[in-house]
Amino acid sequence: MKEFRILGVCGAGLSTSTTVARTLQVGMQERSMPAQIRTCSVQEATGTIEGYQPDVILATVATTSFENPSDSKVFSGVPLLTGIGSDELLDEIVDYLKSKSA
Amino acid sequence: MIGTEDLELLKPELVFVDIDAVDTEDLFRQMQARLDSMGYIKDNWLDAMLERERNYATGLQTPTIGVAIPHADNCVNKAYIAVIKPVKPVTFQPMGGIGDEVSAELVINLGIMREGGQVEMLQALMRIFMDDAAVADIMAQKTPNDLVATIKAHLA
Repeated sequence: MKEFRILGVCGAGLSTSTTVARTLQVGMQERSMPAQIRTCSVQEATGTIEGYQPDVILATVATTSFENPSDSKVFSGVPLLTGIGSDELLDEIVDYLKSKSA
Repeated sequence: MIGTEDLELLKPELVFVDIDAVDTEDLFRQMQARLDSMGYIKDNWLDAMLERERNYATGLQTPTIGVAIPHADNCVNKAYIAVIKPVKPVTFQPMGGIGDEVSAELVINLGIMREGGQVEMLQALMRIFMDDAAVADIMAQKTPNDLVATIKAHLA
């Protein structure tokens, strides 16, 4: 299967986006979805999205706080930090990626 | 899973249980006085923290308690993780702008350096917050020493 690209976006591109992205990567492995991750700050987001062309973007900032110049689908990464709704979000992302690759 | 080096970031001198703050700015001011006296932070820390929190809020409502993980970059002298159990909850805005205000009973301030171990620690702490029994155990502790010992026990 194709390796999916995940981008985590947060205020500084250091802590919460990395935490969210790693949690997502583990969730993808558990669901047998190969994925690579990258993180960036909200200031870098637009340029990074253009260059990296992620399949999925997970943001811990408001999803309206950056431009999304690609057809990447944007999800809030907050459930992966708090655990509230995290399994549902992981399933939703997997369903989305499967529908995209079908 | 958590290396010794990361566990070393948790220390009693960085655990504050006696801060009584009316809002986030008051909380940050009181934290600044303590962190600065120990040499962890730069002069721009307070401004950087306030601006980051204003632009990208860090309140998180976990299944068990409200927490907040305020942090900012380029204002830290040496990596640290400060744990604050305020005398009364401090109101934070929700991360990602989604949901209600968060009444934070525990505040974790990541003193971030690139290549630091703080991300692993944050991830491990967030896992603890999903565990009712672990959170009850941690919130029952009253002193910095007991808090550090209890958190470490649940991380191990």
